[in-house]
Amino acid sequence: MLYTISLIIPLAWGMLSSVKDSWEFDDSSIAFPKIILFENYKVAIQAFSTKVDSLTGPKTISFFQMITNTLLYAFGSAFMVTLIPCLTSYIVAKFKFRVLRIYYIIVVVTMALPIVGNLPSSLQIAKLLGLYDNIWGLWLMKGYFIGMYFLVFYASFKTIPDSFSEAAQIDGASNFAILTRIILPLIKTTFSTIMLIQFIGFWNDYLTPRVFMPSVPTLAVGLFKFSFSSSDSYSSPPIQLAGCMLLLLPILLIYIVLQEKLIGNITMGGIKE
Amino acid sequence: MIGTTIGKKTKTLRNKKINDIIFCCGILLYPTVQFCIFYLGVNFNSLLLAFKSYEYGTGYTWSGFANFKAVIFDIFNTELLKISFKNSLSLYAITLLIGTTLSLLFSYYIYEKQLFHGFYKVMLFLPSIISSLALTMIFRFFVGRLYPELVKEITGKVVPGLLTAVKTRKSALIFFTLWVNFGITVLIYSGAMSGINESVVEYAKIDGANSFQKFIYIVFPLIFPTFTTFIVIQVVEVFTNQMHLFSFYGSGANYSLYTIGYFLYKRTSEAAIIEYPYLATMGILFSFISIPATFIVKNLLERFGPKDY
Repeated sequence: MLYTISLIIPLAWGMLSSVKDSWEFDDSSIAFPKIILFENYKVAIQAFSTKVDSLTGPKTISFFQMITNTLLYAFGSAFMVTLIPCLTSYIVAKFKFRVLRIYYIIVVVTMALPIVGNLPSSLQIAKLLGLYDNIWGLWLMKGYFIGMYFLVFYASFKTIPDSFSEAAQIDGASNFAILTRIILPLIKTTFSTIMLIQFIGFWNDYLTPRVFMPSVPTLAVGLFKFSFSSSDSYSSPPIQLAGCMLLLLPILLIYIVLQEKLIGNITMGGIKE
Repeated sequence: MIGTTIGKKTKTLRNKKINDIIFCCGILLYPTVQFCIFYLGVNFNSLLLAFKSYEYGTGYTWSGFANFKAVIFDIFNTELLKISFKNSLSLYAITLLIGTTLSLLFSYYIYEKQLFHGFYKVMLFLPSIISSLALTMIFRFFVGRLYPELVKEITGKVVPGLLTAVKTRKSALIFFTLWVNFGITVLIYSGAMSGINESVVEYAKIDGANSFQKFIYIVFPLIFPTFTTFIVIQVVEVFTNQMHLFSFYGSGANYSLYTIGYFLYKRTSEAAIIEYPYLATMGILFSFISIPATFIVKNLLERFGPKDY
């Protein structure tokens, strides 16, 4: 109960303070707003604008461009980070070649091996391969099969009887047709839930885009820069809280609508050896 | 006739095998190449960088173990790194002792389906879907502006914000780290508990076991693999956990608050190419510590933990 209250109160306070006048907030941060000022959100949208150095010279990225960058980054990365382990685990789970076991072993070993501080090396390789400072570069870098979701998909594919694909093969279906018309539709719920969780994670991520695509800022990067703004009009708490809400509210809406799907995925059976 | 049929079948099977191989290779080509470049290649490059130094004009040259000597010297002699190490380890200890204990108790509460458990589930998941940056901003203003005002209203005392005062800022950051991660930990533990066979718990109830006895003798042993995984993950995070310092302070956190994770991220994001070898070496040395530590902790837990009979 205490924990729930500790979550609700700051969020509610943040929302109420985001529509307060700056003078009113300075006067009292406790009191309810006397006037509701949605003007703060307009100012916050302007404050998100950030100057970046790109190959074509310095340019200003607006809030709406950041939304586009965020949607592209979050959707593309979520798709890659879901699709690649899905396809890899399907091959490992359903095809009987011994060499495929290596992929499963790689997943388990890499999950157990903590590698610290390879960011400088990642940056160097990204720059070398021309993947630095663009969104599609990050998509390619996110297309890894290792991680927990390989095991989630693997378990899902193992529960699908082989008779489904055998029956389709007898009817002359190719491997690709079996994958796209029979198997993927069977796991579409798992796929969409994982992709949704990943989308939310990438929407909120500012550490990776900040380092790997500095001239293609996302909303989260914009909020980060905005939160350390020294400008008088932008550093006012109600304006900054309005900026917070601009990043937070879309995800909160998704959560309210799809909470059962999200929570259901995370509570599926815990983790077993 | 039979020979022709068998010959056709063999040819069909061979063709099928070839098709399967082509299909598997087609699907696995990209993930394999990606893994080779961005996992094996990156980590191998990290290892190579550790043995190099960079000079403007000459580029990378081999420097042997010079970087290792420099990093080891700095770890034991630089105040900043000693503090970072200490903060990383104390954060781990507090997360383990307080965070894990509270998470287990709270998740057991949800598992026992006490009042409002459905509502709690929804609320517990909330911090993991809201941007940590947004949460840090709200928390920053909450403890920086609302808290001092509330204290003044109630007690008349003028106090600084929790994140500004030297005495309270570290505790406030640790509290925030625990607070943000609490929900998802509870949810995963309660998910593991919901996988326990109902009849096992029923037998315990019939035998007169109370809630505490059920937890100690039935529930905890059965969710021990999940518990082990979390403990191992926490060991892994000792050197990567930033304690949200970058969200709160950007590059300007006070030195007394540094963790190894914050130090590495901050230095790398601001680093010129000349610093990459030093930072890569530091990462490798910390990996050499965390890899065996992870296996030792896992083995100890498996050896001395409750057995699932």
